Amino acid sequence: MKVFTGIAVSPGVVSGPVLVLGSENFRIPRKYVGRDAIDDEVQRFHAALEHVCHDIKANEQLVSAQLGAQYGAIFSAHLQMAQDPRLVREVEVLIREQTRSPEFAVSRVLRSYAEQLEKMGDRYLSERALDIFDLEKRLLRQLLGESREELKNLTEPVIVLAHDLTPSETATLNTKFVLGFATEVGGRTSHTAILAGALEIPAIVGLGRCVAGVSGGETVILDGDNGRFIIDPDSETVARVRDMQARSERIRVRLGLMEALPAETLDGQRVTICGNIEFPEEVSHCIKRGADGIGLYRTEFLFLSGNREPSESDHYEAYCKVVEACGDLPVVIRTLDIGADKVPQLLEHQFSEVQNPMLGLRSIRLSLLNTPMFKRQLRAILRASVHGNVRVMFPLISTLLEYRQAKMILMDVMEDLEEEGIPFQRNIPIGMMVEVPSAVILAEEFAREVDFFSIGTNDLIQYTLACDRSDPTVSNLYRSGDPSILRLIQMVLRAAEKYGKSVTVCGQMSSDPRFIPLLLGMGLRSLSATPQAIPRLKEVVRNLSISEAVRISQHACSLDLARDVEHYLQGELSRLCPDLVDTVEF
Amino acid sequence: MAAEDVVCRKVKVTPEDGLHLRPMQLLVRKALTFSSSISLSFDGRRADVKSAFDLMMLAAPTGAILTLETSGADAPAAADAISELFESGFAISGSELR
Repeated sequence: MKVFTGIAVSPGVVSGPVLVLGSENFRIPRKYVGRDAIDDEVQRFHAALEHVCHDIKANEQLVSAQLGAQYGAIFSAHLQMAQDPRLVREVEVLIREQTRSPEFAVSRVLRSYAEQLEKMGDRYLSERALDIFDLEKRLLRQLLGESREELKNLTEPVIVLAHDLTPSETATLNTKFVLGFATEVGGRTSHTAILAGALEIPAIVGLGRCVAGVSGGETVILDGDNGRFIIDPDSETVARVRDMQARSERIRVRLGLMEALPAETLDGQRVTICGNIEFPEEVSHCIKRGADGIGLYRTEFLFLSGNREPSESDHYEAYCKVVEACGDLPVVIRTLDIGADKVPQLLEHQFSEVQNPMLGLRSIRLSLLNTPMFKRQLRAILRASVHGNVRVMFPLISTLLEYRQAKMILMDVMEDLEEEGIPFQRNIPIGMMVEVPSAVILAEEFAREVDFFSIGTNDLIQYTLACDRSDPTVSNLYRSGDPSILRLIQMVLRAAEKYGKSVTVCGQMSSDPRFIPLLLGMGLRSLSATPQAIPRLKEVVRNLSISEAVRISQHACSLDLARDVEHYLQGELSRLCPDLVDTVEF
Repeated sequence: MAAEDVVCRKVKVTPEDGLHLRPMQLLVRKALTFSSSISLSFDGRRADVKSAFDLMMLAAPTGAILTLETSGADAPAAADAISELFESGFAISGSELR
């Protein structure tokens, strides 16, 4: 038994026979071509290049359709390289002026680029070198008429082991037969690693030299959770892994069943579980898991991906994608929540180095100070509202004045749209994030004015306990189970109930199964969580009765230390859902 | 009006990680729509903006000031379009979100 350790880039544990992909040493048959064959050889190069460009385009479409546009973009970058006039010019020069064969010329030119990039010592540029090698392989395969036969003729499930896999090879792996893959080289952020995650098959890169000692066909275990590749495991290891897999499979099947089942307690109380998303592509992850809607659509990526403010149509297109994918299910769109530390270039001049970005000009404050930008976003939200079931929410509201101002701007935008004859949902529900302690203290006053509350526990905990969750020196203070936080949540729930307004919890607390009995017992009936957490949360709800939840929450709220609260909740969860406990990874 | 115009400008690299994937793609794409030759120079290196490899090897870091030079029949328009990309911080228009 041999164990190799590498970088785990995609989780899961699989075992099976190994398929070793031979190191593709392209044997370049000729270095030179005869003078009278030069024109033919140039022609052959162009034909191969055209073929390769066609394949790359096909890959881009396939990958974009299946995994999303951000993955497809890897291939549009490859295409630009393939069509680069410099590449074509330099290869032709080598063929015409030095009578080199196209194979030799292609390899020489591309490798010279890769070498130059690697010399620059920039990690990002070095990874682009991998893209160049991918292109080299494609061109050489086309010119030499070779292909990775081994990957094409699979009839049984295998685990692939190779020196390296190019992004295009990874993207086109037949996941029906390829259980997982491991490579000797590669880093966590290479395109290959990223694609593995999107494909959802276990993968390990950077194993180091190990291919030499493996002939193929041996049984291997690929542990994508811990980055371990085990060749010829002994019977003890096999048994252990088999148990792990059986358990994971049982849980996976059971959680899979959750998709179709409603989040309903043992005593028939229905709980709404929605998903938190950032990209339109994530909607399918939520719907697949049986989410009741999108409880938080974070719109920041629109501002962060282009280094400048998005246009109204950028907003509108993204929102429509989400809203249409959800059909009748509600979608809560949160307006810009960007922090001063992630400033889009356009607004940088408005402020200088701030000491406390968390307490500074961000989020709704930024929107209120930049009315045209705010209106652009609101216009898009309103226009998208006719395509589905949309709600709008303002983040970081700390005073009644802020809420009223934001709402007034929304009303202005509605009037504008009406004048322009553009349709929108006039009675769109308007809500706010409750994440600043002042909003909790005045919860009743706010409850009179909003249509709904969404408690953002992440920031609420930071502001209440005055600790930065990303600062390791104080991270022990950042606890969802702190009694102060529980009291704050109770205050919000009571105020909302008094005025008949709905409340959702959308921070990390609601993705944590341990807190579900507590929150339900306090009276919460609506959660919004990360998509991956949804099946587990449903499972907890279905194993719980409200009376039990009330008992648990009453006891938890009587404890005065965060640590005690969390221990208690952990214990109750083990009792209610024993299988779930060991798999909680948050 | 000369048949062949030459336009020269300065542009600044604003993206945090220099001219990485997206800005490069946008530059090449935009440059290819003009007949003029378009180049960006930095630190003694000159890159043909229609060439992805040239741009990659320009290795211009964030904050760098580059010299944009266009020459040909549509040189002024080309210079405007490329400068605009830099000034806008390489905006993504709606169609490119796909």
